[in-house]
Amino acid sequence: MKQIISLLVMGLALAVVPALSATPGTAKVPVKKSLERFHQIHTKKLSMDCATCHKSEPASSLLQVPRAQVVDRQTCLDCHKEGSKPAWYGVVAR
Amino acid sequence: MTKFVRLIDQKRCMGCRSCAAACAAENYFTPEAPWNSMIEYEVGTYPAVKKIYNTMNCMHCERPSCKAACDSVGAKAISKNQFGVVLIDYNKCIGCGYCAAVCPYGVPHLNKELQPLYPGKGKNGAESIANADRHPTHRKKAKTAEKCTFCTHKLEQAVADGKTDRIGKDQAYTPSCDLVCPTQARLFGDIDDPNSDVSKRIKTTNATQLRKQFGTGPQVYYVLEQGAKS
Repeated sequence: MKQIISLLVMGLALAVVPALSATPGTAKVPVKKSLERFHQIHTKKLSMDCATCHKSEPASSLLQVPRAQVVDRQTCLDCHKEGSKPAWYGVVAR
Repeated sequence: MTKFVRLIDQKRCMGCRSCAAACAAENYFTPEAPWNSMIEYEVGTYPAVKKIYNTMNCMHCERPSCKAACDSVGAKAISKNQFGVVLIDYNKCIGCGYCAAVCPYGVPHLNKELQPLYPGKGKNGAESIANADRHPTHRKKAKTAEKCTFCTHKLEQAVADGKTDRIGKDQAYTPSCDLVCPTQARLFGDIDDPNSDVSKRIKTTNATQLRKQFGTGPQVYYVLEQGAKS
């Protein structure tokens, strides 16, 4: 009887410990970062239209990328300046 | 302190692209990921029109947006060294493309696949050097971001040889693009040294940085042609 109880306790412990270690905030879930995700955040979560960033007339931009892919980062600057989250512009390099 | 900057004089540039060609040969850049390219556009109204040649490479910003984006996704593949050079570690890069997406100058390029510089014509001389024998910034990998390094392999060589005072002067210690310009439209040196040629010329020409509204503090200065975009 004692053996059965101790086996049950051990089994319970083995089942509970991994479950506790996987509580939210402690587990590291790999998130795939990609431009696809980047686009999903802007178009689906923030409901931004493609044309908000992808202008048909790239005349005002000075970018090294091929003209077909031109996105004027001025649109990015409006939301991602220093003090915003995430901030990309004006952030001191560490 | 030493802070390396580049000066590009649009009034002298004639758009020959020697700088881009020299960079391609020096840094093995592939067609999908150029480290140096020429933007051309016209300004003015007929008959008073003129062509602007604006060569673009990494601005090695004081506050690089590429690094901020890279850090925000947790990759931490971009660093800024003691000379102000912004570098990408290909071994840490996860190929997310965020750096390319946020750079105000469109500088980093995601190299989706490694192609020879002259597709269909085999490898050129530099490309045939084994990866292990190359400087880390030349050990290209597919699906990683790339960009100009201020020819950091040459700067490191100057440090190793104890000749940092020759950077911007000697061929071995100066970025290749700055060496080959036939009109001397490019200059490289230490802006923290008030007696350096680059410091003096930035002062006398009122050279400025591009797209200052982004607050990234670029380390490349331009002498702008009249009517040129800034």
